[in-house]
Amino acid sequence: MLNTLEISCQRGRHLLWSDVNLTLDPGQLLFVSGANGSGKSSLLRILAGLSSANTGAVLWCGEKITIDAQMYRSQLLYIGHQPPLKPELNAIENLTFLTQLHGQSVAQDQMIAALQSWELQGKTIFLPTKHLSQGQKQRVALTQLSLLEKRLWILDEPFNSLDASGSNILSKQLELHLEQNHFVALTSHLHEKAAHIAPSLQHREIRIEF
Amino acid sequence: MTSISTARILLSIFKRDITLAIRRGSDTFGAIFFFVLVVSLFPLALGSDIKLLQQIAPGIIWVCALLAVMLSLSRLFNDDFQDGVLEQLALSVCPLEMIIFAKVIAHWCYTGLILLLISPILALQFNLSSDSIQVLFIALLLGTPSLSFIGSIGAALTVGLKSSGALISLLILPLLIPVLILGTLAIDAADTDMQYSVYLYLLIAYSVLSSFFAPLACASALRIVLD
Repeated sequence: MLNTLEISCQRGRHLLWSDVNLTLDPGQLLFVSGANGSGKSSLLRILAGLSSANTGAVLWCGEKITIDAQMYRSQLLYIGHQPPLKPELNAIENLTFLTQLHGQSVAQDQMIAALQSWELQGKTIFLPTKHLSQGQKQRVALTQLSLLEKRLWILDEPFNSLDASGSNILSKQLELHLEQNHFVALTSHLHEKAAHIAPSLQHREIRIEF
Repeated sequence: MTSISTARILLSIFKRDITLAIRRGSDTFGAIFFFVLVVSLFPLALGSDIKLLQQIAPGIIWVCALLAVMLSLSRLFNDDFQDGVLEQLALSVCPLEMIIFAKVIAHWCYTGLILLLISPILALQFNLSSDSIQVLFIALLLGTPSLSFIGSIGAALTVGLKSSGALISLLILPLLIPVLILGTLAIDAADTDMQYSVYLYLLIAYSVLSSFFAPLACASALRIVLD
């Protein structure tokens, strides 16, 4: 269970938001929406433990995430608004590195199969990622969702630069993850996209708008 | 999918950094070319006074090695920061300090180690005796790791800045002066048949201490950048 206790966020002298109390139960999706610069990403970074909140605390299973950060990170997958890929490496090399960084080792066949399930195949898999389009890069980064066994996904604007079929694949992945009683937190600045996250997910949603 | 140990994670970071350094070729090895060119310019410019060349050789080789390492430092963390990989490093199950240790060791392999391997050839231009060349080699072997480690602190503190090169030099050159002095003293001592091992021991001490403390400092600096 993921909780926040009265967290607030300040950037410079400007208070973005304050007194946010959230409870995310197993199988629930936290959907953060709001205008540009309203502090959506900041909330996700605080939840991931990358930034610290000005006041308050984030709890995972009733314990502050800073107490056993290692344990928390072993259950957490955070993908920022930019796909964390090295332009000189191809999709397989990037994913090998990212999965190993999370302490998990995945066979190459499995990786190719996962990339194919994200509709990336043939040459694109073996091209340095600097030659891929933004949407393809996003798909490569999101392939981590299929490869890593993590309970909590924190995704910053995951639908950005994905086309309709990409969004569908992502929605299915989210649905599958939530059915297993895991957790998802994500942001989107587009309201229409919000309706896009499959109707089947609606009863699992907790919304917060800045 | 299987879990892997911390050592495997560090090895994969090391391998990735080496692969990236090789793929970036011209960028990485620019520092090496700089080293070779500048060291070779001195004998050409100063003429054929063998005594003079012998005297200034250790200083020149050390100063050039220092500047070459400095040149290559600005990309150490900045690239990972720019493409969002730094966040992933910070969220790895492996402590950030150890990840930085692996990255700096990799940095040493594609800068310090190569400088060290070509330095005996460059030293020939200064008419150094084979004994002095041997000591130069050992001194560089023991001293260059501390250039990478201490340099990494400067790189971590300047992550995200546009022109970090000059600032890195300003921040860390004062800290590297002991290495420079000890390194040249060792070779001077060997030249004059004096006891030089004490300088080598001090170089080892400097490298060991910096390899322990620099990753801690870098990790704190990088966490502040990400916050």
